[in-house]
Amino acid sequence: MDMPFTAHVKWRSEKFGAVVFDTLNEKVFVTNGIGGSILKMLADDLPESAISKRLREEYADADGDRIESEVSAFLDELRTRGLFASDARSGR
Amino acid sequence: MSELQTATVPGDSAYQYASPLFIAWQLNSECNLNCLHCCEEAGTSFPDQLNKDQMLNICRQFAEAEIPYVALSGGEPLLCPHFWDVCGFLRSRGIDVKIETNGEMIDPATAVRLARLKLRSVQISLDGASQKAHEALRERGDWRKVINACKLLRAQEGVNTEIVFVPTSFNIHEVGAAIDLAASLNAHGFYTGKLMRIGRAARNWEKLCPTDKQYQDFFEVLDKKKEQYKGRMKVYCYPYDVIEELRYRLTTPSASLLVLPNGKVKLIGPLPFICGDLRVMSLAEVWEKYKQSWRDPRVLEFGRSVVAQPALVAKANDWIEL
Repeated sequence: MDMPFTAHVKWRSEKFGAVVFDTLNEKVFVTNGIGGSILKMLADDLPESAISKRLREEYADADGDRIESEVSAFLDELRTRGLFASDARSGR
Repeated sequence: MSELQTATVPGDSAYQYASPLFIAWQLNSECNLNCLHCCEEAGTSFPDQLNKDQMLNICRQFAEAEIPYVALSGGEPLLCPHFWDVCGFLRSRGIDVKIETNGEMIDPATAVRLARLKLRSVQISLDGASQKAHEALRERGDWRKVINACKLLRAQEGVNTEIVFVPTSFNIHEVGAAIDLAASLNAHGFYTGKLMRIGRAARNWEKLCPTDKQYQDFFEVLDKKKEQYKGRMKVYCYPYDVIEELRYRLTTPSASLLVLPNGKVKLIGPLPFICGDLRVMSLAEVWEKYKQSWRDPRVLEFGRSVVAQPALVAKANDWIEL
């Protein structure tokens, strides 16, 4: 699946959420269901703002500002780990 | 909410995954060399090696199961007549591929072909900074061809060449110079780790195994070189020896499969157990059997025996079907 990830980063859905594999560095990361949803939306080419919006709609009872900051933190973590090829999807 | 948790070891805990994360696939057992330390006892072909259709059927299953990463080895994988078909298929489905080769078959045309595949890496065995040390270990080997292969790959855009160095009493003193040589060849990484007592290496153990003092010096050199090449070339030493890894895997099987040239699937390198056959079973069936097999009392008992008596690893290639 094409993603904003670097060339050697692969991901797939799992029952628990998703697994991200940086094959070049042979490092595996796992994330929960919501992390998996964010990865799916990234694969669907959605920018950060649209991801937050969709999750706010899905979790209408949750604090919207918290959702936004969590999405931002998740994407930052992917960047920090060197998994993103660029910031093209940040929507900032 | 969406916290990214880090698994501490790649492939940790097979039980949580729907399919393997990594496949180590020995395409063939044929090899042009006769290395003293070969853990696969490679040389001649298996009588029942997979044919092209069987290999491509397995590749299709890898793609359907969203396997992210496959390492192709042998024997010498470039001698496998279906190597390019397999590689091309896997890459066309977006699966990352690493090739583990002795490098001697890489001529200019092969280097171009490999580069076009945009592989994760081409891993080349270089067991010495000198021709003498390398060729002493690698019977029929040609050190100059290996160096030339690295240069040919260096000339191609986007090829990650990785050097693998296996320390033995023949070459362990050359590790520092071998790392410098790898850097001069623009290698992406230099990989090493303690000699494994499997296959032909087990038979030649007494003459190959470095002393404790040699290993101590080896690790000191590695530490220095890691610092020296930080940010330029990855210098990596696999932290576990074969017994330490086995002890860990007995409780935490990796999310990976080891596929043999005849399609049979081995539980792990140091154990003799076969847990499936991709000629007659689907990948999904093999994966379930693999996970169950790690809880099989025969596996646990033999595994613990090997941990207690490491010399039993020499039986790793005497297969036992579960």
